[in-house]
Amino acid sequence: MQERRAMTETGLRKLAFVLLVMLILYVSLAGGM
Amino acid sequence: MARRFGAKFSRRGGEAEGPGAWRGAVRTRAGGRVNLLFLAPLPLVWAAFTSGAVGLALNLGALGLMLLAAWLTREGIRAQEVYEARKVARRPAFPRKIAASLLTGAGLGLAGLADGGAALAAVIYALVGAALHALAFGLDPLRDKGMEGMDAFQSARVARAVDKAETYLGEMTGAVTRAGDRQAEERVARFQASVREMLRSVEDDPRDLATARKYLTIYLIGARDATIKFADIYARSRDAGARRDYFALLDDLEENFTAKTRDLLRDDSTDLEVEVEVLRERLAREGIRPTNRPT
Repeated sequence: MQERRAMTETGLRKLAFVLLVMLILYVSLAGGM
Repeated sequence: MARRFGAKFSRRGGEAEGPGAWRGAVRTRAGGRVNLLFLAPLPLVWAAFTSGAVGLALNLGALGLMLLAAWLTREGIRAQEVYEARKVARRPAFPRKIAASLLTGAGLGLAGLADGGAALAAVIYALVGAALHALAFGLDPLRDKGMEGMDAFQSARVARAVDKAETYLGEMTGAVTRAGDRQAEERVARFQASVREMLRSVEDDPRDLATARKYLTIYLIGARDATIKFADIYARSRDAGARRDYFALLDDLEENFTAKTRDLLRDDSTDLEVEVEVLRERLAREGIRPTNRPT
């Protein structure tokens, strides 16, 4: 149970990181358009 | 002078493999992912130089904020790793990851403003960015660790002693790098591993600090000074005799540190035995025997 929660947490963190990078890319690319 | 090729994990010819210098080493998380944070906002440079004076200022400001945030994130992760490696630790003095989250939000908001978009869009970028950053990297450890049940004075002393010992170890590493001898670097790393074992043991039981203090100050300062002298001499003259003497000194020191650490651990188990004995005796003196157990 605890292991599964840790895995979910890692997955969430990874997802948040990907979204963050995408957001930064989007904002910084959109600025130049 | 020719130098045998090799790096930290290369096989070493002709030298007996001792206990690994890298025991207890863990991979740092302040690597690949964080580097992306430095790269992602770079397109702002292009945006800055194609959008007039105000756009230039806003975009470069945003870029600066986000790069600062990326750097703070890395420092925050490192600080947290140090915090997690220790059993007794104070919380980081400056919450770097939280600051990084805020700065990322501010940078995104500024970039959104530069985009010519509405203020609302900028605010949304800022909020979402800060939240995502906080989710992705977490918050800094906000409370002291391992200090429960210890008085603040004692735990502060331990934390201070460990900090100081780590400073000496850092100075040793810096000095031996100057010598430009890979084996010496590895030898020092191995010695440091044994010192760190003692540090962990002291953190476990702060009462050990009194007996270990001599080791963590006088001997470590001696080791550091010897390392600096060795590095100076060896960098200049490649004196094999100096190297041999220095290695012998490290051998002695390491043996002593290991033996002392073992002593500290044994003391701990003696303490436990005494405690158990005393408690048993007191129970026996109460004169009550459990009835459901055959005597």
